[in-house]
Amino acid sequence: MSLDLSKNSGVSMSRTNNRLSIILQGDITPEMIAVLNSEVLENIKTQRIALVIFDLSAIAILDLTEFNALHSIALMIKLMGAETIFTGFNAGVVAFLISAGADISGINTVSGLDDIDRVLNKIKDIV
Amino acid sequence: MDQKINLEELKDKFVITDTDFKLIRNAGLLLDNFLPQLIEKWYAWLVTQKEFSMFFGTNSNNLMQIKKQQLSYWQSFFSANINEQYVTDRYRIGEVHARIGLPNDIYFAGVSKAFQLIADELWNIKPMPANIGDIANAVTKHFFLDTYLVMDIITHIHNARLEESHKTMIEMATPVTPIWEGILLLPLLGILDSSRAQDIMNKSLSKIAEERTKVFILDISGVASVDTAVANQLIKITKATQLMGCEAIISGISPAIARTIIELGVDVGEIKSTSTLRDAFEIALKMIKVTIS
Repeated sequence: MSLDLSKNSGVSMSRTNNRLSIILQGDITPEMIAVLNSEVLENIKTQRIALVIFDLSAIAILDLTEFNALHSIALMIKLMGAETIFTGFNAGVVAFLISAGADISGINTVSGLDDIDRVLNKIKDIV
Repeated sequence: MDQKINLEELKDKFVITDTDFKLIRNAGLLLDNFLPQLIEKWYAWLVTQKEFSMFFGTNSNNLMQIKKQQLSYWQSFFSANINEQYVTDRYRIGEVHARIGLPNDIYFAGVSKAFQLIADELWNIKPMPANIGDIANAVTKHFFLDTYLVMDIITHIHNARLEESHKTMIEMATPVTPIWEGILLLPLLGILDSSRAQDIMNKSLSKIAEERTKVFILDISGVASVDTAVANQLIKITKATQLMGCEAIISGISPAIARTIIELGVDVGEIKSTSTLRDAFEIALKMIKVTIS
């Protein structure tokens, strides 16, 4: 299943079994975050999604506000009983976030998509 | 009725003095012959009201009985002996009104009609007593006191009924049920306030101890809204169950509730939660190492 969040939103979501992959591209706007938030949570509820993967490899710039918004979505996902894994963090983005004092607690990350299962096993046996 | 009242305080509040009581007794003497007429006139008015047939019926014997009671009521009113017996009698009237569900409008209209009939008679006494104004004033104060006592007990009875139904509702609203050996389910419905949350916690904890529960599922699919206070109460409940050596899962977290909790900045810590009861049940079964093929 493949669906576009909305036209020209820079977000594409695809579902495989109980995993939802989200690829973010371009600028992350507050409108995009709001739509993403509700779409992801609705999917967890209706499609019984157990894992949400955020692919940020196409994101070159991410400020603290945008990161915090994604972090909040991850916490909401957790509250609904699913797990979140971030992948494709740009080195420059990470360096900036750490120096800006971003709260990275509860964030699961993998270096590449092929590493997801190993990390998942570490988190818990749900998927 | 166990309603306690301080008579002296009541007299002070209604500014009824011993002089007033003398004046009321004086009015009673003046109106002694009028009382049977008062009752007839009052009933002539009451018959025209739609509530008459609803509450007094058509049985003439009953009506006679009620009229007799009314006569002794007015005699007691004009004897102006404000004592415990008087209060008990007024409370009994209130209890009857509450029991039959007499509407307040017809009760107050009845009091008003009686007052009007008595006042008209008092002001038309020939020769008019010099202190008629004081007499009328004292009678008015007594009317207010009398009406207050009846209404006081009606309110008290209604409040007691409300409290009782509230207790019953709370009892019904906390159905802690074992759904599997070692799994306890509490589906929550409606509005969660701190007193209900406390009750839920107490019941859940005793049931956990009683059933030796291993997993406690708190399903909030039916909770109307979640704010900071409610979220904190839920977290408190789950933490308390964990302290009892029991795993806790909050199920039924909707997208809206998840958003609210995170946006409010509530620290959910390591609490396990799911969006559906089905997921929570699956996790619970895994926790107690049950596999269903």
